[in-house]
Amino acid sequence: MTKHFIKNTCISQRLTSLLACLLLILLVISEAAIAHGERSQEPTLRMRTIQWYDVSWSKDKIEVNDTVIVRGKFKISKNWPNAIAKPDVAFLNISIPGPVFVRTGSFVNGVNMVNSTRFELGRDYEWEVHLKARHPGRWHVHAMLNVEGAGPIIGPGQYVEVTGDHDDFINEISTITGEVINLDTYGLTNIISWHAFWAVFGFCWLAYWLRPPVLFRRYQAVKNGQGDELICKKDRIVAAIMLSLSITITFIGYQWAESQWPETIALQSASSPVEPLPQPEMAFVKTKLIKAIYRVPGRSMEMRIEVTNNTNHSIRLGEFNSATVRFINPNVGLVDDIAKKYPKHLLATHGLTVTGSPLIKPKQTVTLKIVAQDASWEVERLASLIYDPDSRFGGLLFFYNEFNTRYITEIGGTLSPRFI
Amino acid sequence: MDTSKLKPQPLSYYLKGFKQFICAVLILFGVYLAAIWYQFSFAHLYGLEAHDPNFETYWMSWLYTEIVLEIIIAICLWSYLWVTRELTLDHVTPNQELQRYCTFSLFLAVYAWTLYWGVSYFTEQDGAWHQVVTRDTSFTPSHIMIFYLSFPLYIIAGVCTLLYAHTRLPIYQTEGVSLAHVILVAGPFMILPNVGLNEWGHAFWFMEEFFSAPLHWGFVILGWCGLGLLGVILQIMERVSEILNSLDTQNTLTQADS
Amino acid sequence: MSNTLPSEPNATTAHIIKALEWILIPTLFFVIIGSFHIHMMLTAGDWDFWLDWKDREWWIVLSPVVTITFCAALHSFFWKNFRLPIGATFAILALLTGEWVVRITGFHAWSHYPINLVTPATFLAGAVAIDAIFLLTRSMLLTAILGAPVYALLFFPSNWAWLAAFHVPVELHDQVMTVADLIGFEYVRTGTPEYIRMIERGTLRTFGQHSVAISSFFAAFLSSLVYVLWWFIGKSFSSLKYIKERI
Repeated sequence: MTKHFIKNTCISQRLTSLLACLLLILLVISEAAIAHGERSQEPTLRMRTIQWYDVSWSKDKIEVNDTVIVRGKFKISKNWPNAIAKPDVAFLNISIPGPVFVRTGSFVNGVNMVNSTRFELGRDYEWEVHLKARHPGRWHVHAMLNVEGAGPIIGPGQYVEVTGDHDDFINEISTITGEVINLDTYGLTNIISWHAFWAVFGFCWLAYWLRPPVLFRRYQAVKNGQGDELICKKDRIVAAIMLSLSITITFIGYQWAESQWPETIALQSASSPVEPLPQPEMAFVKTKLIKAIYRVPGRSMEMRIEVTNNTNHSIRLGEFNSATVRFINPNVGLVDDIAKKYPKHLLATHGLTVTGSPLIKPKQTVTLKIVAQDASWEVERLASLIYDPDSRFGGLLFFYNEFNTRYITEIGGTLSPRFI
Repeated sequence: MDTSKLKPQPLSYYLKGFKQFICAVLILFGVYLAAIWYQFSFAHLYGLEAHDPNFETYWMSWLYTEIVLEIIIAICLWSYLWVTRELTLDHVTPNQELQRYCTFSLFLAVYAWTLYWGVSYFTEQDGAWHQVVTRDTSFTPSHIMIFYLSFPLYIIAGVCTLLYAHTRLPIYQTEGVSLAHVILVAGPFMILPNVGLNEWGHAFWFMEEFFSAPLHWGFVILGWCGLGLLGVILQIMERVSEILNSLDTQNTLTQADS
Repeated sequence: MSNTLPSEPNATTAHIIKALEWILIPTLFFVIIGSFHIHMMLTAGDWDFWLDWKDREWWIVLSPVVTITFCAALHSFFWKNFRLPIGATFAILALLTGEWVVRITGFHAWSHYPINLVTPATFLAGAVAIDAIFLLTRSMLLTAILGAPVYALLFFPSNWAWLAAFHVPVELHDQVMTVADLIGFEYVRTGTPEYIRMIERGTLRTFGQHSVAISSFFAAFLSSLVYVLWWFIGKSFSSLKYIKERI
């Protein structure tokens, strides 16, 4: 019996370990596989429209009523595809699963972005969105830009955990007329009262006429040519009263509203112009694509590029950033805290290999061979670029000098597949 | 003629199918509530990203299961109605015909119930979900319930009404099929194929989540076909009135009510 | 022909009739919820879903014009066959039932939007009025000329009673907005970027802020035309026709 017990205990311990492993694997897979719809977007849309970088989330765990700020920069690609509507009308949105946060502010280059705006191709913009936690849960928060005619272009996402109770949520603001209101529940009593009133009003009218049995009798009467006799004087009086009440109560309700809220304005709509970030007069670093191929078996993209260093210091290639995936050159590393806190499933910390002349001296032009290799090509479905009608890729290259000064260039062009 | 066949029967005779009707309504209600519970439980967790493996587990598996079950249910119900039909309806007495009209009305009521959930509830609920996600598949958690659960259910119910009427109501054999009834069933039926246009448009043409877009107007026009019920009701009333008049009633026509 | 109205039927047939009507009336109600709701949500739905779409131009025009359709169709059905002046109220109550159920369970409970952002418009003041006008005139044409405009003209003032509060101005980061704009901005909708709102964007000629009246009268005119068209559509659907040929 003891042997049996020990054997069973060992078995149950093994089973437990196995289950724990499976759970861990599932969790890891779940953690790694989270997105918000962007993986179905065509790679060319993600790689050649908005280049998101320096994206950060100020906190990853907050309570209801606390604020998290999502900020970063984006470059509007100069290689914007012809097939996709240009960002002549665009709106800085945020991709969250419904109003589990409320957006208390959004800005591009310091300009209030409650409205839509226009972005210039090839230019950079700095943005931030303030989110106040409303519902507890573990929510994936993505940067996002909506472009009219193109739809949503989603940036990187990160989990933010919200603790607390939704019942504690308050979203108060003062109106210009001096009233302090809670936007979550504002006007609710009035809404319910008026809607309920009119519903009862309508129901009374219906109930007056429609109490079974009513249809068959009236149907027969109409068929026999006696339909008009179905309407009596009382019915006409009731109708007149209801008509008068409809108009009178509407009028009273309108006047009452005017007296309660005498200062009202129309819905506001406008576009907010925003200047892009300043651009240096000359390009400090120039890059030109010579050739790019994608090796399907190896899940890697190889580029040969020509780099011209117009700065006064030597530079090295630190990163290739495309469609929110960051391929890092481990020899240069993750240079700053923003990079270090980037979502892990989009961060290939050893994803970039540079051969050729890794250290590019001042005023030198060199050819580099770059390999960006990581499973995220497939996980993020970027590799399907080679099967799409438009197989041109795009991305950003980040160069650093010994002082960690960063130079960003855009790269892009045709991507040829290699299947063996 | 056996005049007892003309005597009105107790109400329970005419509403023979009432218990089955209640069962059908409650079962359907349970299915819809289960669908809504499932959405509430798993949509935010596993329904935001179509390429997540969990999406396949929690949502696509539901889709495959419901499609299979719907096919089985459709075959069973439609076959039953067809196989149990009478080859001739000449012998149907007025009482029997009245009973069948009551049953037909109950079939229509079930159809109305399923139609409400399909084209009203789940259709607008889809709009609520599309403000939460970025559309990345034709099989979103909302679509799985509206297009592939609620629409097939009302199609099954609608065809049941047609089959019942066609095989049980003598007038469908003597006069032909009711145009209004065909419109009532065929119109909403076509809403499901129209989903093809809808998904094509959303994939290739229309990138914004605007409910009132012209892309959706096919659904609108097909939805108008629900007004076919107006004609069906009148046909029921017309025929039922004739039957009631032929029954052995105590009262004759008297003075009008005041 | 007898000059008397049909009697109350005897006890047994009365039960049958009553039972049938208790089945048919709710059946009609639910089918109308379905048909009317899908019609409304995919034509004027966005304006009806969202607080910050209820503007002075589009919402006031589209909502009455789109909804008078089923009101007219049911007027035709109920009046021609039963002399019941309930078509508009029946239709609108059905529509609002369908809308409220989803706004509460779908938009609010599932997607977490506050009720004030997703409140539907009410049409009942106009619905009862047009029903009453129909009864008093007993004429489709007079109802189209008088009743339909009343239906449209009552739309905005009957909704202003609850909507006015949301047009109070606020300031967010030095930008003036209405409370409605602010709620729309703060309660994030991934599928509704600001530019997609089809609302009054400002023109050179708003005639001294009389946009509401202008839109209402335009809606009144359109409603008259649509009423006539849909009266006949309702009449067509109320067909007693059987078809013997194979379809």
